[in-house]
Amino acid sequence: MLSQLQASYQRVEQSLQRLTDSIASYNPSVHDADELVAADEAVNRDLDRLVVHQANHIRIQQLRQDNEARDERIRANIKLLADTRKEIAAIPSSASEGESRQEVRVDELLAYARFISRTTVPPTFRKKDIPALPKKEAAAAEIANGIATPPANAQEEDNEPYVRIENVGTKAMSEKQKQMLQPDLPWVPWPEPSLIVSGALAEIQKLVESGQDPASVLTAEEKAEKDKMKGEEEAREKLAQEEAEKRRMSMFDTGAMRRQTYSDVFDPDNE
Amino acid sequence: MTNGHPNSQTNGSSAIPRDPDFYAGYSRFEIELEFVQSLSNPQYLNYLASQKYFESAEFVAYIDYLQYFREPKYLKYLQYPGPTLRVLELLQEERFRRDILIPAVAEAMVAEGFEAATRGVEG
Repeated sequence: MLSQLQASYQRVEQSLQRLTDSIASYNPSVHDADELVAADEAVNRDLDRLVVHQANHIRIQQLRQDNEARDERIRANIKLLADTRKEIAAIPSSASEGESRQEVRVDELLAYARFISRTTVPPTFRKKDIPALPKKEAAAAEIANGIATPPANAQEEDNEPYVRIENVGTKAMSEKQKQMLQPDLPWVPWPEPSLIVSGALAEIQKLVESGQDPASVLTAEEKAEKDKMKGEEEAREKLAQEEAEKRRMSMFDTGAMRRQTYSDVFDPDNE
Repeated sequence: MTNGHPNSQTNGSSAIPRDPDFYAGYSRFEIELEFVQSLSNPQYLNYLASQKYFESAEFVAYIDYLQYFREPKYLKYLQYPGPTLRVLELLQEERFRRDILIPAVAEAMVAEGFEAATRGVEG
């Protein structure tokens, strides 16, 4: 570009020079004037081309910059990917024996979740309604010293509220004393005493207390077998009874038999 | 209900052998399941301690045997899995077995258990 411009400038200069020379030598040459005009136009054209050239140059630079920016981004992404993959591979698998790594099926999990939901926090539970339970850190600290201390503490608390109640009422009860009564937890994550009492262990307890041996309660199978045996037993007894009856009847002659057919009751006087 | 004599059959031994795991109408598994879950109630533990159960080595060994409930195939029967397993763990320590006799400790356990179960629950 530069050399082209230079060439056209030189052309202009040359033709100008020739023209001025010819004018100076009183021999104006029209040809040279035309030459100058043409050279001038050539320069203008070149200048336009220069403008375009610059614009292109700038655009090329921009594109190069763009390119590099994208290249940089791609490089960063690939690096991130590689790092993430390394991280994932580096996650230590839990130290487990072969059998504890079982695949848990989703439906099993969901069924268990439903099973547990009955004994988990109820949806109507509002935590902020519960007065904050003060942590018994004092008691824990005392336990470190010896078992004797906490009971002494408890006794102190027993005395205090009694004194207060005389004057004021339950509202004056110390916070700790109220907590001892503990009526205010709406729900606990373990079976309540009422539930325990209605269970199998309690039933066994009742059996034991009433003197019956729980081991004597029969399974359904055993019951069925027992009934069957009883049935057989009864059938056998009935059979034996009938045979005894027949024998009895055949022992006597027909005259007495008629009377005896009507009355089955054993009458020693009429033997 | 039969009274007094166990297995009173009028005609010698029955054809079905007596099932040792059947007791009072419940299977042994049912009874053990109920017991292990009742343990998760700190007040019950306090009661057991007061009845001196924890001083019997046999009882303590039995509770150790109950650790089988950790396995998945038995775990799935627990309705109170968290507190139950925690208690099984705690009961292995002698210090705990002694301390749970103190009412204050049982109270603290109730508070902590409640807190743990409701942590993160918004009102």
